[in-house]
Amino acid sequence: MRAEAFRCDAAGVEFRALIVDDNARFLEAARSSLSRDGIKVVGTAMTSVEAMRLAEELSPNLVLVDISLGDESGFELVRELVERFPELGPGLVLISTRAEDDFADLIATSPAVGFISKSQLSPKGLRDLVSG
Amino acid sequence: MKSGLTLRMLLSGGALAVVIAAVFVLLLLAINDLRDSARLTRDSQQELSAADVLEKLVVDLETGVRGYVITRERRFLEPWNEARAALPAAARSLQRTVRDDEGHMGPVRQIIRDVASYIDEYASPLIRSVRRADPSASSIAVTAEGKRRVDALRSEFATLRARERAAIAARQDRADAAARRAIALGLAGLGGSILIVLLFTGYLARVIVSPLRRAAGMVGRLAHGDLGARMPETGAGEIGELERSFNTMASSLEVSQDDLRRLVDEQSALRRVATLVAQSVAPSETFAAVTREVGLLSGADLARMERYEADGTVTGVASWSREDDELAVGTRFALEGISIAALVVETGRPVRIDSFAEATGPIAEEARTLGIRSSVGCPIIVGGRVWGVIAASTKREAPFPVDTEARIGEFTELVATAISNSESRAELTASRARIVAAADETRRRIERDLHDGTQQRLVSLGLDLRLVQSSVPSELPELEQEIGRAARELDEVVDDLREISRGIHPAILSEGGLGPALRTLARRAALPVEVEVPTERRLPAQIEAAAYYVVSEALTNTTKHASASVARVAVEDADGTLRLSIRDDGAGGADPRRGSGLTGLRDRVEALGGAIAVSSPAGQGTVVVVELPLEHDPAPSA
Repeated sequence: MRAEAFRCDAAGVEFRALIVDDNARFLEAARSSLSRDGIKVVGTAMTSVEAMRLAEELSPNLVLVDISLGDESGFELVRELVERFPELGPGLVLISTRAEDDFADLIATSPAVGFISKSQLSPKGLRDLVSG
Repeated sequence: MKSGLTLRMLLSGGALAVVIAAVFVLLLLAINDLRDSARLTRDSQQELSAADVLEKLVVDLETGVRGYVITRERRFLEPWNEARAALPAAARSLQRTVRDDEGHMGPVRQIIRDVASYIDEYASPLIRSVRRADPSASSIAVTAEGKRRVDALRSEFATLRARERAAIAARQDRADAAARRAIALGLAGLGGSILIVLLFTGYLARVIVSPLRRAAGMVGRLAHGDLGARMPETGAGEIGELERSFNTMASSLEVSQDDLRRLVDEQSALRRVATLVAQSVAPSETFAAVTREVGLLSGADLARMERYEADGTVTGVASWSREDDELAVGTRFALEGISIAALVVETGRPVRIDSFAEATGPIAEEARTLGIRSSVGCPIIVGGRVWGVIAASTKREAPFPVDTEARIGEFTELVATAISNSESRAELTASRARIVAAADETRRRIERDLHDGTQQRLVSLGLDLRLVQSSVPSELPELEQEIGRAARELDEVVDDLREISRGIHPAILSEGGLGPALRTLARRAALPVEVEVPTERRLPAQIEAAAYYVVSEALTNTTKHASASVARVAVEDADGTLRLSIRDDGAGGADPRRGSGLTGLRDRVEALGGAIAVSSPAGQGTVVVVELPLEHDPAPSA
């Protein structure tokens, strides 16, 4: 089911994105940036608890999780999300202002589908990551 | 045994002298007797010969008279005349020989009178009558008269001689008896003297020579170090004095030697403890050593060291027992009732308790249970406060000698030094650890601030710029390009800043721990690095940071200097120690003291109580080994 849906996405079907980041300024910028290019940002969360709640309420199919969530760990949140919502797995993307190889080891063992640097955040990049 | 040997010698010598003198006096008396006897005998013989002369003269007179009467010739009167002339001298001579002998004086005078009477009353008238040619002169009667007179005289002479000879014989008998007595006396004196000399010699041997020989033997033993040698003090007089003096000397030597040995023991013990202190061994080891030395040196049955706690209790930190008594170490006691610990902390001075019989409280209770009779204790003063106490206890009746406190005191100073050193070291270590931890924390915070603030804003700004860029109308391509260039530059700034942040603190370390952090390091290194981190458990932040920076620095050195083809990083987490090794197959020959960033890491590692070792033999690669205790407690261990 999901795999089919993503193929549709690639062909223009909407993403329903949830962005989890503890920085309000970034959330705003990201929302604008993604919305501009056809990705619907259905919600933003600044904490793990909020993220879990919104993931349940909004049923997103794309979740961007900041690795450094203040005192919380993005990796941990990704594990919890996959545990609670297994169908979210292919739409889970880790983001960070830091470089990918700073966390390569952890990203590799994470159930997230991939990593994208915040400065390189773009709808195209996301689509490539999620559908590739 | 009070009488001197001199008196005994004098008495013995005196006895001998008396015996010998008596013998000699008796001998002298005997000799005198013999000489008197000989003189008397000589006198008697003179008397006899004088009597013989006189008698011969009488015979000559008679012969002359008889010849003249018969022949009437004058020439026959010559013997008469000669005899008459010699007669007075002979009579005087005989008288002289008996002048001391009253017994003989009478008969001698009688003889002389009778001779005179013969001459005067018979011979001379006869000669005259012959001269006158008187015929009666030749008569038988006259001749018989002359013969009778001469025979009477000769009989008197015979009697005198017989008496004299009897006297001589009697004297000879007496002299012989006296001589025999003298010989017997001399022999008896000789025998007695020999006996006395033998007895005296034996006595001297027993009283002087034998004890002296024994003394010589003892002195020999003493000279060869057997200070326990003693003599029976049974000798008489000066010998007894000598024996007592010898024993006194030996005792005094023994005491001196004991003192010396005690001093040597004490100095050795102090040196052993001082060596431990100088070697900075764990305080608990020093405490145990000191407690043992104090116990042994003071001759105690039990010794213990206790530390005063802030809550008014004491904790046993070390104990020693001569007979394996169970003593609590590590447990706390309340300072109730009478105890050495209570008195010491109260007075701050050495104290002693000579009896626990009346004492109350848990410590006194324990003392009684252990059979302790008396105890002595000294304060351990560190930095002006009473840190603890060393106490020695004995189960014997006799209390400790008076110098015990002073002797224990020597050790307490060493203990105080050890504690002070240890506290200083611990403070230093803790201070280094705090400095390193504070620096780490600061770096982590700066990195975090950069990330949460500046980096986020710059990244957001970049996203905004790109949004703006995409919104620029196509009629304004230059503007679009300008904005695009600004956005790319902004990306570069973000990259630079990320690089700087990473140098300040590796986020992966806080985020993922040592394993991911080391693997990230390896991935980013300029040469292949094999990483083996079997544990994924999180370790204390300062341990992880130290390990990370050591590996980072080692890999940097390898890349720069070693011309290595591969490096291996191995981490072991075992027995409470994190052990990491970084080895390469490079040129080796690295001097860890010079130019290496590892030197700077030594502080970090040692601040955590760890150790770092670099081995880099030329041509055999370089190995850096670091050990970090995971349960390091920078505070003193006791």
